[in-house]
Amino acid sequence: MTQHHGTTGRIIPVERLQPGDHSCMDVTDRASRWQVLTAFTRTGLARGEKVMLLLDPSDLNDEDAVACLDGGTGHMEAALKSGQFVLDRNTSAYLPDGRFSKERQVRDFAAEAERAREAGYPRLRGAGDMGWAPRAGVADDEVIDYEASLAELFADGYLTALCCYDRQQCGDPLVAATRTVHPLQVMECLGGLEVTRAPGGGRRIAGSAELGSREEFTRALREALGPRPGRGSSRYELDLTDLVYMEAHCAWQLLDLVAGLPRKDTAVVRCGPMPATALRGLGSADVPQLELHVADPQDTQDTGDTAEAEDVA
Amino acid sequence: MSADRLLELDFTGPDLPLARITLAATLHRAGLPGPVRDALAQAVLEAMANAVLHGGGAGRLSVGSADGEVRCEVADAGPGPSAVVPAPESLAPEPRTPDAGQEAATGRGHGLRIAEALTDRIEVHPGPGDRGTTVVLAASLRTAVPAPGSA
Repeated sequence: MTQHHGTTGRIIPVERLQPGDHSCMDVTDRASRWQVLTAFTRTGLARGEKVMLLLDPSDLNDEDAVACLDGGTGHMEAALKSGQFVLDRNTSAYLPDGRFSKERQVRDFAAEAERAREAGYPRLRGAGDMGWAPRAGVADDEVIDYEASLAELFADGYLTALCCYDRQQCGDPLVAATRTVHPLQVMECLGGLEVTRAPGGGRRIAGSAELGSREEFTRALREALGPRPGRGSSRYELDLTDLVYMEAHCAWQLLDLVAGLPRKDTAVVRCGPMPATALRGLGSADVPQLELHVADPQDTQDTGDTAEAEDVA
Repeated sequence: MSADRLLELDFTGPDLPLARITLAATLHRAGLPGPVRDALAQAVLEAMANAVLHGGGAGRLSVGSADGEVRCEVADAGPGPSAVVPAPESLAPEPRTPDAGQEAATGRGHGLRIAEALTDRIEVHPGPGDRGTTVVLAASLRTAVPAPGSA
Protein backbone atom coordinates (compact mmCIF):
# COMPACT_ATOMS: atom_id res chain seq x y z
CA MET A 1 0.00 0.00 0.00
CA THR A 2 1.54 3.28 -1.00
CA GLN A 3 1.25 6.56 0.79
CA HIS A 4 2.16 9.78 -0.95
CA HIS A 5 2.80 13.09 0.65
CA GLY A 6 2.85 16.53 -0.86
CA THR A 7 0.59 15.56 -3.73
CA THR A 8 -2.02 18.09 -4.71
CA GLY A 9 -3.49 16.12 -7.61
CA ARG A 10 -5.65 13.01 -7.47
CA ILE A 11 -3.69 9.76 -7.40
CA ILE A 12 -5.14 7.24 -9.83
CA PRO A 13 -4.27 3.94 -11.47
CA VAL A 14 -3.19 4.25 -15.10
CA GLU A 15 -6.41 2.56 -16.23
CA ARG A 16 -8.30 5.62 -15.00
CA LEU A 17 -6.57 8.08 -17.35
CA GLN A 18 -9.04 9.84 -19.58
CA PRO A 19 -8.77 12.10 -22.61
CA GLY A 20 -7.65 15.53 -21.49
CA ASP A 21 -5.67 14.23 -18.51
CA HIS A 22 -2.20 15.59 -17.82
CA SER A 23 -0.52 13.31 -15.31
CA CYS A 24 2.83 12.55 -13.76
CA MET A 25 4.32 9.42 -12.28
CA ASP A 26 7.13 8.93 -9.77
CA VAL A 27 9.45 6.25 -11.03
CA THR A 28 11.49 4.28 -8.57
CA ASP A 29 11.44 0.89 -10.24
CA ARG A 30 12.03 0.44 -13.94
CA ALA A 31 10.12 -2.89 -14.20
CA SER A 32 7.03 -1.38 -12.59
CA ARG A 33 7.28 1.64 -14.86
CA TRP A 34 7.35 -0.64 -17.93
CA GLN A 35 4.21 -2.42 -16.73
CA VAL A 36 2.44 0.92 -16.50
CA LEU A 37 3.72 2.01 -19.91
CA THR A 38 2.58 -1.29 -21.39
CA ALA A 39 -0.88 -0.85 -19.91
CA PHE A 40 -0.97 2.75 -21.14
CA THR A 41 0.01 1.67 -24.66
CA ARG A 42 -2.21 -1.40 -25.02
CA THR A 43 -5.23 0.48 -23.74
CA GLY A 44 -4.67 3.38 -26.11
CA LEU A 45 -4.10 1.20 -29.16
CA ALA A 46 -7.20 -0.88 -28.43
CA ARG A 47 -9.24 2.32 -28.27
CA GLY A 48 -7.93 3.37 -31.66
CA GLU A 49 -5.89 6.26 -30.24
CA LYS A 50 -2.51 7.32 -31.53
CA VAL A 51 0.14 6.44 -28.95
CA MET A 52 3.54 8.09 -28.63
CA LEU A 53 6.28 7.03 -26.22
CA LEU A 54 9.35 9.16 -25.64
CA LEU A 55 11.96 6.98 -23.95
CA ASP A 56 15.27 7.97 -22.44
CA PRO A 57 18.30 6.92 -24.52
CA SER A 58 19.44 4.87 -21.52
CA ASP A 59 16.24 2.83 -21.63
CA LEU A 60 15.52 -0.34 -23.65
CA ASN A 61 16.48 -0.18 -27.31
CA ASP A 62 13.63 0.14 -29.80
CA GLU A 63 13.43 -3.56 -30.59
CA ASP A 64 13.31 -4.63 -26.94
CA ALA A 65 10.88 -1.87 -26.07
CA VAL A 66 8.45 -2.94 -28.79
CA ALA A 67 8.79 -6.60 -27.77
CA CYS A 68 8.07 -5.66 -24.15
CA LEU A 69 5.02 -3.62 -25.12
CA ASP A 70 3.73 -6.33 -27.43
CA GLY A 71 4.09 -9.20 -24.97
CA GLY A 72 2.88 -11.68 -27.55
CA THR A 73 -0.34 -9.87 -28.32
CA GLY A 74 0.79 -9.29 -31.91
CA HIS A 75 -0.51 -5.74 -32.24
CA MET A 76 2.63 -3.64 -32.04
CA GLU A 77 4.07 -4.36 -35.46
CA ALA A 78 0.92 -3.30 -37.26
CA ALA A 79 0.59 -0.24 -35.05
CA LEU A 80 4.18 0.78 -35.81
CA LYS A 81 3.72 0.29 -39.54
CA SER A 82 0.49 2.23 -39.66
CA GLY A 83 1.87 5.08 -37.57
CA GLN A 84 -0.65 4.51 -34.80
CA PHE A 85 2.27 3.87 -32.47
CA VAL A 86 5.35 6.08 -32.44
CA LEU A 87 8.49 5.32 -30.44
CA ASP A 88 11.09 8.06 -30.08
CA ARG A 89 13.72 9.26 -27.64
CA ASN A 90 13.15 12.13 -25.26
CA THR A 91 16.37 13.83 -26.35
CA SER A 92 15.29 14.19 -29.97
CA ALA A 93 11.84 15.37 -28.92
CA TYR A 94 12.81 17.87 -26.22
CA LEU A 95 16.35 18.83 -27.25
CA PRO A 96 16.35 18.70 -31.05
CA ASP A 97 19.22 21.16 -31.27
CA GLY A 98 20.69 20.31 -27.89
CA ARG A 99 18.76 23.08 -26.13
CA PHE A 100 15.36 23.22 -24.47
CA SER A 101 12.77 25.81 -25.41
CA LYS A 102 9.42 25.82 -23.62
CA GLU A 103 7.68 27.73 -26.41
CA ARG A 104 8.99 25.44 -29.13
CA GLN A 105 8.03 22.34 -27.15
CA VAL A 106 4.46 23.51 -26.61
CA ARG A 107 4.21 24.32 -30.34
CA ASP A 108 5.64 20.91 -31.28
CA PHE A 109 3.17 18.99 -29.13
CA ALA A 110 0.28 21.09 -30.42
CA ALA A 111 1.39 20.31 -33.98
CA GLU A 112 1.68 16.60 -33.13
CA ALA A 113 -1.88 16.63 -31.81
CA GLU A 114 -3.07 18.40 -34.95
CA ARG A 115 -1.37 15.82 -37.19
CA ALA A 116 -2.97 12.99 -35.22
CA ARG A 117 -6.35 14.66 -35.54
CA GLU A 118 -5.93 15.13 -39.28
CA ALA A 119 -4.91 11.48 -39.61
CA GLY A 120 -8.26 10.54 -38.10
CA TYR A 121 -7.24 9.32 -34.66
CA PRO A 122 -9.92 9.97 -32.06
CA ARG A 123 -7.30 10.84 -29.42
CA LEU A 124 -3.58 11.18 -28.90
CA ARG A 125 -1.89 9.79 -25.81
CA GLY A 126 1.77 10.26 -25.03
CA ALA A 127 4.16 9.24 -22.30
CA GLY A 128 7.57 10.82 -21.86
CA ASP A 129 10.58 10.11 -19.69
CA MET A 130 11.60 13.48 -18.24
CA GLY A 131 15.11 12.35 -17.31
CA TRP A 132 16.50 14.53 -20.12
CA ALA A 133 15.86 17.72 -18.15
CA PRO A 134 18.39 17.51 -15.29
CA ARG A 135 20.93 15.98 -17.66
CA ALA A 136 20.61 18.96 -19.98
CA GLY A 137 20.98 21.34 -17.07
CA VAL A 138 17.41 22.61 -17.19
CA ALA A 139 16.56 24.06 -13.79
CA ASP A 140 13.76 22.50 -11.76
CA ASP A 141 11.65 25.67 -11.81
CA GLU A 142 12.01 25.83 -15.59
CA VAL A 143 10.69 22.26 -15.87
CA ILE A 144 7.77 23.09 -13.60
CA ASP A 145 7.04 26.27 -15.55
CA TYR A 146 7.02 24.23 -18.77
CA GLU A 147 4.65 21.62 -17.31
CA ALA A 148 2.29 24.36 -16.15
CA SER A 149 2.35 25.97 -19.58
CA LEU A 150 0.99 22.79 -21.18
CA ALA A 151 -2.41 23.15 -19.52
CA GLU A 152 -4.15 24.68 -22.53
CA LEU A 153 -3.10 21.75 -24.74
CA PHE A 154 -5.38 19.52 -22.69
CA ALA A 155 -8.37 21.84 -22.65
CA ASP A 156 -10.18 20.25 -25.59
CA GLY A 157 -9.85 16.69 -24.27
CA TYR A 158 -7.93 15.37 -27.25
CA LEU A 159 -4.59 14.76 -25.58
CA THR A 160 -3.68 12.48 -22.67
CA ALA A 161 -0.16 12.64 -21.24
CA LEU A 162 1.88 10.75 -18.70
CA CYS A 163 5.13 12.46 -17.66
CA CYS A 164 7.52 10.01 -15.99
CA TYR A 165 9.94 11.44 -13.42
CA ASP A 166 12.62 8.99 -12.34
CA ARG A 167 13.49 9.79 -8.76
CA GLN A 168 17.15 8.88 -9.20
CA GLN A 169 17.60 10.93 -12.35
CA CYS A 170 15.45 13.90 -11.40
CA GLY A 171 15.98 14.09 -7.65
CA ASP A 172 13.46 14.43 -4.85
CA PRO A 173 12.88 18.21 -5.12
CA LEU A 174 11.85 18.05 -8.79
CA VAL A 175 9.74 14.93 -8.25
CA ALA A 176 7.96 16.65 -5.36
CA ALA A 177 7.47 19.85 -7.32
CA THR A 178 6.08 18.09 -10.36
CA ARG A 179 3.30 16.59 -8.27
CA THR A 180 2.05 20.07 -7.48
CA VAL A 181 1.71 21.10 -11.11
CA HIS A 182 0.08 17.99 -12.60
CA PRO A 183 -3.64 17.61 -11.94
CA LEU A 184 -3.22 13.84 -11.66
CA GLN A 185 -0.57 11.48 -10.39
CA VAL A 186 -0.52 7.94 -11.78
CA MET A 187 0.33 5.10 -9.42
CA GLU A 188 3.65 3.51 -10.20
CA CYS A 189 2.50 -0.10 -9.77
CA LEU A 190 -0.20 -1.97 -11.62
CA GLY A 191 -2.50 -3.92 -9.35
CA GLY A 192 -1.60 -1.90 -6.26
CA LEU A 193 -3.66 0.18 -3.88
CA GLU A 194 -3.55 3.79 -2.81
CA VAL A 195 -5.31 4.43 0.48
CA THR A 196 -5.89 7.91 1.76
CA ARG A 197 -7.80 9.21 4.71
CA ALA A 198 -10.55 11.64 3.81
CA PRO A 199 -11.70 14.50 6.01
CA GLY A 200 -14.25 13.19 8.49
CA GLY A 201 -12.61 9.80 8.83
CA GLY A 202 -13.61 8.24 5.53
CA ARG A 203 -11.25 6.42 3.24
CA ARG A 204 -10.48 6.69 -0.43
CA ILE A 205 -9.11 3.48 -1.92
CA ALA A 206 -7.81 3.70 -5.48
CA GLY A 207 -6.17 1.08 -7.66
CA SER A 208 -7.22 -2.50 -8.00
CA ALA A 209 -8.45 -4.98 -5.37
CA GLU A 210 -7.28 -8.29 -6.75
CA LEU A 211 -5.30 -11.37 -5.83
CA GLY A 212 -2.04 -9.52 -5.22
CA SER A 213 -3.59 -6.75 -3.15
CA ARG A 214 -6.44 -8.50 -1.39
CA GLU A 215 -4.75 -8.59 2.02
CA GLU A 216 -3.98 -4.87 1.85
CA PHE A 217 -7.50 -4.17 0.71
CA THR A 218 -9.01 -6.13 3.57
CA ARG A 219 -6.72 -4.41 6.04
CA ALA A 220 -7.74 -1.00 4.68
CA LEU A 221 -11.41 -1.96 4.95
CA ARG A 222 -11.00 -3.10 8.53
CA GLU A 223 -9.40 0.21 9.42
CA ALA A 224 -12.07 2.18 7.60
CA LEU A 225 -15.00 0.25 9.06
CA GLY A 226 -13.64 -0.24 12.55
CA PRO A 227 -15.77 0.45 15.63
CA ARG A 228 -16.22 4.08 16.56
CA PRO A 229 -16.66 5.32 20.09
CA GLY A 230 -19.96 6.85 21.12
CA ARG A 231 -23.56 5.72 21.39
CA GLY A 232 -25.04 7.29 18.30
CA SER A 233 -25.19 5.83 14.86
CA SER A 234 -22.09 6.04 12.73
CA ARG A 235 -21.76 6.88 9.09
CA TYR A 236 -18.78 5.40 7.27
CA GLU A 237 -17.65 6.76 3.93
CA LEU A 238 -15.71 4.68 1.42
CA ASP A 239 -14.70 6.33 -1.84
CA LEU A 240 -13.88 3.54 -4.31
CA THR A 241 -14.52 5.57 -7.45
CA ASP A 242 -10.92 5.14 -8.58
CA LEU A 243 -10.88 1.45 -7.77
CA VAL A 244 -10.88 0.03 -11.29
CA TYR A 245 -11.42 -3.60 -10.36
CA MET A 246 -12.64 -5.52 -7.34
CA GLU A 247 -12.45 -9.30 -7.40
CA ALA A 248 -15.25 -11.30 -5.85
CA HIS A 249 -13.19 -12.20 -2.79
CA CYS A 250 -12.63 -8.52 -1.98
CA ALA A 251 -16.25 -7.65 -2.71
CA TRP A 252 -17.34 -10.36 -0.33
CA GLN A 253 -15.00 -9.07 2.37
CA LEU A 254 -16.47 -5.60 1.98
CA LEU A 255 -20.05 -6.85 2.21
CA ASP A 256 -19.17 -9.05 5.15
CA LEU A 257 -17.61 -6.19 7.10
CA VAL A 258 -20.50 -3.83 6.36
CA ALA A 259 -23.03 -6.51 7.31
CA GLY A 260 -21.23 -6.85 10.62
CA LEU A 261 -21.78 -3.20 11.53
CA PRO A 262 -24.54 -2.34 14.02
CA ARG A 263 -27.86 -2.02 12.21
CA LYS A 264 -28.11 1.68 13.05
CA ASP A 265 -24.86 2.40 11.23
CA THR A 266 -24.51 3.23 7.55
CA ALA A 267 -21.62 2.56 5.21
CA VAL A 268 -21.73 4.79 2.15
CA VAL A 269 -19.76 3.19 -0.67
CA ARG A 270 -19.13 5.09 -3.89
CA CYS A 271 -17.69 3.10 -6.76
CA GLY A 272 -17.64 2.63 -10.50
CA PRO A 273 -19.72 0.15 -12.48
CA MET A 274 -17.27 -2.75 -12.40
CA PRO A 275 -16.89 -3.01 -8.60
CA ALA A 276 -20.64 -2.41 -8.32
CA THR A 277 -21.21 -5.44 -10.52
CA ALA A 278 -19.24 -7.60 -8.11
CA LEU A 279 -21.03 -6.19 -5.06
CA ARG A 280 -24.46 -6.65 -6.58
CA GLY A 281 -23.63 -10.14 -7.76
CA LEU A 282 -22.79 -11.11 -4.20
CA GLY A 283 -25.94 -9.69 -2.67
CA SER A 284 -25.31 -6.06 -1.76
CA ALA A 285 -29.08 -5.49 -1.78
CA ASP A 286 -29.36 -7.77 1.25
CA VAL A 287 -27.05 -5.64 3.40
CA PRO A 288 -29.23 -2.93 4.98
CA GLN A 289 -26.28 -0.98 6.37
CA LEU A 290 -24.91 -0.41 2.86
CA GLU A 291 -25.62 2.63 0.72
CA LEU A 292 -24.16 1.92 -2.71
CA HIS A 293 -23.69 4.85 -5.06
CA VAL A 294 -22.48 4.05 -8.54
CA ALA A 295 -20.84 6.66 -10.72
CA ASP A 296 -18.79 6.10 -13.83
CA PRO A 297 -15.70 8.31 -13.66
CA GLN A 298 -15.27 7.78 -17.39
CA ASP A 299 -18.56 9.51 -17.97
CA THR A 300 -18.13 11.86 -15.00
CA GLN A 301 -21.75 11.29 -14.17
CA ASP A 302 -23.89 8.63 -12.61
CA THR A 303 -24.60 5.75 -14.93
CA GLY A 304 -28.03 5.49 -16.46
CA ASP A 305 -29.46 2.59 -14.52
CA THR A 306 -28.00 3.64 -11.28
CA ALA A 307 -29.86 6.61 -10.00
CA GLU A 308 -28.77 6.99 -6.42
CA ALA A 309 -32.23 6.34 -5.00
CA GLU A 310 -32.36 3.09 -6.93
CA ASP A 311 -28.92 2.18 -5.83
CA VAL A 312 -29.27 2.57 -2.14
CA ALA A 313 -29.32 -0.89 -0.65
CA MET B 1 -10.76 -23.22 -30.66
CA SER B 2 -12.09 -20.43 -32.81
CA ALA B 3 -12.25 -18.92 -36.24
CA ASP B 4 -10.63 -15.74 -35.03
CA ARG B 5 -7.97 -16.05 -32.38
CA LEU B 6 -7.62 -12.79 -30.46
CA LEU B 7 -5.28 -13.55 -27.58
CA GLU B 8 -3.12 -16.32 -26.14
CA LEU B 9 -1.57 -15.51 -22.79
CA ASP B 10 0.25 -17.60 -20.18
CA PHE B 11 -0.05 -16.24 -16.66
CA THR B 12 0.95 -16.71 -13.05
CA GLY B 13 -0.15 -14.65 -10.05
CA PRO B 14 2.13 -11.64 -10.60
CA ASP B 15 0.99 -11.43 -14.23
CA LEU B 16 -2.67 -10.88 -13.34
CA PRO B 17 -2.71 -7.04 -13.23
CA LEU B 18 -1.27 -6.65 -16.73
CA ALA B 19 -3.30 -9.63 -17.95
CA ARG B 20 -6.40 -7.79 -16.74
CA ILE B 21 -5.55 -4.80 -18.90
CA THR B 22 -4.61 -6.93 -21.89
CA LEU B 23 -7.88 -8.81 -21.57
CA ALA B 24 -9.84 -5.55 -21.41
CA ALA B 25 -8.03 -4.26 -24.51
CA THR B 26 -8.72 -7.50 -26.36
CA LEU B 27 -12.42 -7.45 -25.50
CA HIS B 28 -12.54 -3.81 -26.60
CA ARG B 29 -11.01 -4.74 -29.96
CA ALA B 30 -13.53 -7.56 -30.28
CA GLY B 31 -16.27 -4.94 -30.28
CA LEU B 32 -18.05 -5.84 -27.07
CA PRO B 33 -19.86 -2.83 -25.63
CA GLY B 34 -18.73 -1.49 -22.27
CA PRO B 35 -21.11 -3.22 -19.86
CA VAL B 36 -20.81 -6.61 -21.61
CA ARG B 37 -17.04 -6.20 -21.76
CA ASP B 38 -16.79 -5.38 -18.06
CA ALA B 39 -18.99 -8.29 -17.09
CA LEU B 40 -17.09 -10.81 -19.19
CA ALA B 41 -13.75 -9.43 -17.99
CA GLN B 42 -14.80 -9.74 -14.36
CA ALA B 43 -15.91 -13.34 -14.93
CA VAL B 44 -12.72 -14.30 -16.77
CA LEU B 45 -10.52 -12.66 -14.14
CA GLU B 46 -12.26 -14.65 -11.43
CA ALA B 47 -11.49 -17.84 -13.34
CA MET B 48 -7.86 -16.74 -13.78
CA ALA B 49 -7.47 -16.05 -10.06
CA ASN B 50 -8.99 -19.47 -9.35
CA ALA B 51 -6.46 -21.07 -11.69
CA VAL B 52 -3.61 -19.41 -9.79
CA LEU B 53 -4.99 -20.26 -6.36
CA HIS B 54 -6.35 -23.75 -6.93
CA GLY B 55 -5.14 -24.87 -10.33
CA GLY B 56 -1.42 -25.19 -9.87
CA GLY B 57 -0.37 -21.53 -9.70
CA ALA B 58 -0.45 -20.82 -13.41
CA GLY B 59 -2.76 -20.89 -16.39
CA ARG B 60 -3.32 -20.01 -20.00
CA LEU B 61 -5.92 -17.57 -21.26
CA SER B 62 -7.21 -17.91 -24.82
CA VAL B 63 -9.68 -15.46 -26.33
CA GLY B 64 -11.35 -15.93 -29.68
CA SER B 65 -14.49 -15.04 -31.52
CA ALA B 66 -16.69 -17.38 -33.49
CA ASP B 67 -20.35 -17.92 -34.23
CA GLY B 68 -21.33 -14.49 -32.99
CA GLU B 69 -19.75 -14.73 -29.58
CA VAL B 70 -16.51 -13.92 -27.82
CA ARG B 71 -15.21 -17.00 -26.12
CA CYS B 72 -12.57 -17.00 -23.37
CA GLU B 73 -10.88 -20.15 -22.13
CA VAL B 74 -8.92 -20.31 -18.89
CA ALA B 75 -6.92 -23.53 -18.66
CA ASP B 76 -4.71 -24.74 -15.84
CA ALA B 77 -2.72 -27.86 -15.10
CA GLY B 78 -3.91 -28.29 -11.52
CA PRO B 79 -5.64 -31.24 -9.88
CA GLY B 80 -8.86 -30.84 -11.84
CA PRO B 81 -12.31 -29.27 -11.69
CA SER B 82 -13.13 -30.45 -8.20
CA ALA B 83 -10.30 -28.29 -6.86
CA VAL B 84 -11.34 -25.20 -8.80
CA VAL B 85 -15.11 -25.41 -8.86
CA PRO B 86 -17.00 -25.70 -5.60
CA ALA B 87 -19.86 -28.14 -5.17
CA PRO B 88 -23.07 -26.85 -6.82
CA GLU B 89 -24.82 -26.21 -3.51
CA SER B 90 -22.13 -23.74 -2.47
CA LEU B 91 -22.85 -21.62 -5.55
CA ALA B 92 -26.31 -20.85 -4.16
CA PRO B 93 -26.80 -17.62 -2.25
CA GLU B 94 -25.94 -18.21 1.37
CA PRO B 95 -26.95 -16.46 4.54
CA ARG B 96 -24.37 -14.04 5.82
CA THR B 97 -23.11 -15.52 9.10
CA PRO B 98 -20.26 -14.76 11.45
CA ASP B 99 -18.38 -17.60 9.75
CA ALA B 100 -18.90 -16.17 6.29
CA GLY B 101 -15.59 -14.38 6.41
CA GLN B 102 -13.86 -17.70 6.94
CA GLU B 103 -15.44 -19.07 3.81
CA ALA B 104 -14.48 -16.01 1.86
CA ALA B 105 -10.94 -16.50 2.99
CA THR B 106 -10.79 -19.74 1.03
CA GLY B 107 -11.38 -17.77 -2.16
CA ARG B 108 -13.67 -20.41 -3.61
CA GLY B 109 -17.27 -20.07 -4.66
CA HIS B 110 -17.86 -16.33 -4.89
CA GLY B 111 -15.83 -15.83 -8.03
CA LEU B 112 -17.56 -18.62 -9.88
CA ARG B 113 -20.93 -17.42 -8.64
CA ILE B 114 -20.26 -14.01 -10.15
CA ALA B 115 -18.85 -15.55 -13.31
CA GLU B 116 -22.02 -17.60 -13.76
CA ALA B 117 -24.19 -14.55 -13.30
CA LEU B 118 -22.23 -12.34 -15.65
CA THR B 119 -21.71 -14.48 -18.73
CA ASP B 120 -23.99 -15.85 -21.39
CA ARG B 121 -22.39 -19.25 -21.05
CA ILE B 122 -19.93 -20.90 -18.68
CA GLU B 123 -18.59 -24.44 -19.02
CA VAL B 124 -16.09 -26.29 -16.86
CA HIS B 125 -14.19 -29.21 -18.36
CA PRO B 126 -11.45 -31.47 -17.09
CA GLY B 127 -8.21 -31.24 -19.02
CA PRO B 128 -6.60 -34.07 -20.99
CA GLY B 129 -6.20 -37.19 -18.87
CA ASP B 130 -8.45 -35.66 -16.24
CA ARG B 131 -5.57 -33.40 -15.29
CA GLY B 132 -6.21 -29.69 -15.06
CA THR B 133 -9.32 -27.63 -15.64
CA THR B 134 -10.58 -25.56 -18.55
CA VAL B 135 -13.21 -22.92 -17.85
CA VAL B 136 -14.98 -21.51 -20.91
CA LEU B 137 -16.81 -18.19 -20.61
CA ALA B 138 -18.65 -16.59 -23.49
CA ALA B 139 -20.58 -13.44 -24.32
CA SER B 140 -22.65 -12.72 -27.38
CA LEU B 141 -21.45 -10.22 -29.97
CA ARG B 142 -24.95 -9.66 -31.23
CA THR B 143 -25.36 -6.46 -29.28
CA ALA B 144 -21.79 -5.40 -29.87
CA VAL B 145 -20.67 -2.34 -31.75
CA PRO B 146 -17.24 -2.30 -33.44
CA ALA B 147 -14.55 -0.37 -31.61
CA PRO B 148 -13.89 2.71 -33.74
CA GLY B 149 -10.51 2.96 -35.35
CA SER B 150 -8.86 0.08 -33.54
CA ALA B 151 -5.79 -1.34 -35.29
